[in-house]
Amino acid sequence: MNKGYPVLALLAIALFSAAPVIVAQAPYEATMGLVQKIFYYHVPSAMVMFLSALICGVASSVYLFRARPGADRIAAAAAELTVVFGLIVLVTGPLWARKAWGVWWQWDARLTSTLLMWMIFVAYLLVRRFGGPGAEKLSAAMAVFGMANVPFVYVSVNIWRTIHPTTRVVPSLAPGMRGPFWFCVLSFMLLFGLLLAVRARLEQRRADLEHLYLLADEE
Amino acid sequence: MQGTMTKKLMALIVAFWLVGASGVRLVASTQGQSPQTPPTGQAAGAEPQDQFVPVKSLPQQEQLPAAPLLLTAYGFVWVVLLVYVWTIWRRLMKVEREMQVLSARVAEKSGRG
Amino acid sequence: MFLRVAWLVMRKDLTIEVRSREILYTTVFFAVSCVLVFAFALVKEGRPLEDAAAGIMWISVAFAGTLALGRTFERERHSETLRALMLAPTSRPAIYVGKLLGIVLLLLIVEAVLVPLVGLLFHAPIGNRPLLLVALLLFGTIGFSAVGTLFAAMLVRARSRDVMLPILLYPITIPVIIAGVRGTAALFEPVPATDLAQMWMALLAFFDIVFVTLSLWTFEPLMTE
Repeated sequence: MNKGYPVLALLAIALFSAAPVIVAQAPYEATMGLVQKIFYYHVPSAMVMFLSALICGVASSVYLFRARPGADRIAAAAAELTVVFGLIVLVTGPLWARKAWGVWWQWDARLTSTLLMWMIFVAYLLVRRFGGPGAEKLSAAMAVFGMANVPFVYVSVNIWRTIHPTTRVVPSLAPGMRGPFWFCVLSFMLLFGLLLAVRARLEQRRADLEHLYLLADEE
Repeated sequence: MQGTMTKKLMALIVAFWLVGASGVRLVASTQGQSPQTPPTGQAAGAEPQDQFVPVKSLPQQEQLPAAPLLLTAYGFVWVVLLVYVWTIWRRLMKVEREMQVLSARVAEKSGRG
Repeated sequence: MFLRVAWLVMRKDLTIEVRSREILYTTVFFAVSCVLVFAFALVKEGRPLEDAAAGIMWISVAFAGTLALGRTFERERHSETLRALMLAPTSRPAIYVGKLLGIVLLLLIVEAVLVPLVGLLFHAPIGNRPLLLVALLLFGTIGFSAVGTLFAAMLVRARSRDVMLPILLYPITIPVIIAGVRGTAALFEPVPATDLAQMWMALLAFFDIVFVTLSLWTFEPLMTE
């Protein structure tokens, strides 16, 4: 394994552990108060989730058209991470909404398309796990179609009025909140990169194992 | 040949997103213009709007305590990530163990043969 | 050449279907029983639930479509004919288009039975804007089948394909269902909201274009073993 991993891992753990402390020192938001602090974990997770989905889609299309097994491993790792971070987004979101909107769930465009995207990647993992031979290609197709699907879901659900805070919230953050927010984004991104590398390595080792089994059978 | 294929695909994906984004704006603008706002769509959209009351205007005792929600959220994130790291570690260990057993067997076999 | 191959594949499927009528009869029966189940669940004291007709119609179409897709490709798998088709020295996208046309035609026949039945049982005014309703159904069916044909063709080789098809198909075709249901519901209003239905129809048409293109494009690498 690479020598850089342990250093990066320590750094990620340090950043991630420091995040709650830094968030605690961030100023209170005027209207929402304490519950607004969920935002510091919710938004970075959402960013990581979308990045991960994008990586999975691109890696899947590379795998489909160029038949690179490495791309498939990255796609599989990214799909699993999309599901993990998507779960975080989908749980922290309602916890915030309960206080801010008064309801746990809203059928607005952003929430619904996030949920559906998450479901597409859960389906990806299910196909991969239970699809039998040829499941890699099937799941790659699922990822490519799922990516193309996201704008459609967004448009079609957008007819129902959107009440989710828009992405413009981030640039308009108060100066005191900007630091902690980007700190959290950094720590999430670093963690994501590490997890992706480790998870892709697991997939690599599984491929090696498969290869070794074939060798053992031949003898 | 294959390189152009991938490039084309990338371009297509980017185009989808762009078209999708412009479509959203289009839908939003047509919605704003047409006097006949969606009767069915509104039924779903208007309902929560009626229920929506700004937190500040609620009486004090009706306000939910924020701390449990916040702690649940942060705790959940930590638990999920730790459990996930643990599962990766376990799977990796399992593969490594299997690999050791297998390579020992292969070495033994080839040594004999 | 492309169109000819597509035409031949479709004609082959239809000829088998006309001889046996297995898929048509079973799918129609399934769709009708689906609507009846919904009727028992949602009609209270002789009055159907308001606004339910459009949803029930599209859910039945989606369920029946899944069944028809599964059966069509099961038939191909049974006699290894899909492999033979793939080995034929023709362009594979043409085979895809042929299969797609066959399934769309089959589903349209099913809908011809289903829609009047829903109108009858749920008091839906299906005669409000017949042309627009037909267009919505046509575009929706094409969109659903475009994704469905591709996935069903890929799943021919897979284990547990019966479960996998809906798992893959439903999340991807959610926009079709939303657009179809909302567009049809707009038409079923006492005063049909034509412009809204047209907007949904445009979205469906756009979905069809994108997903048929994407399927044509990915069919070749996906079907290569």
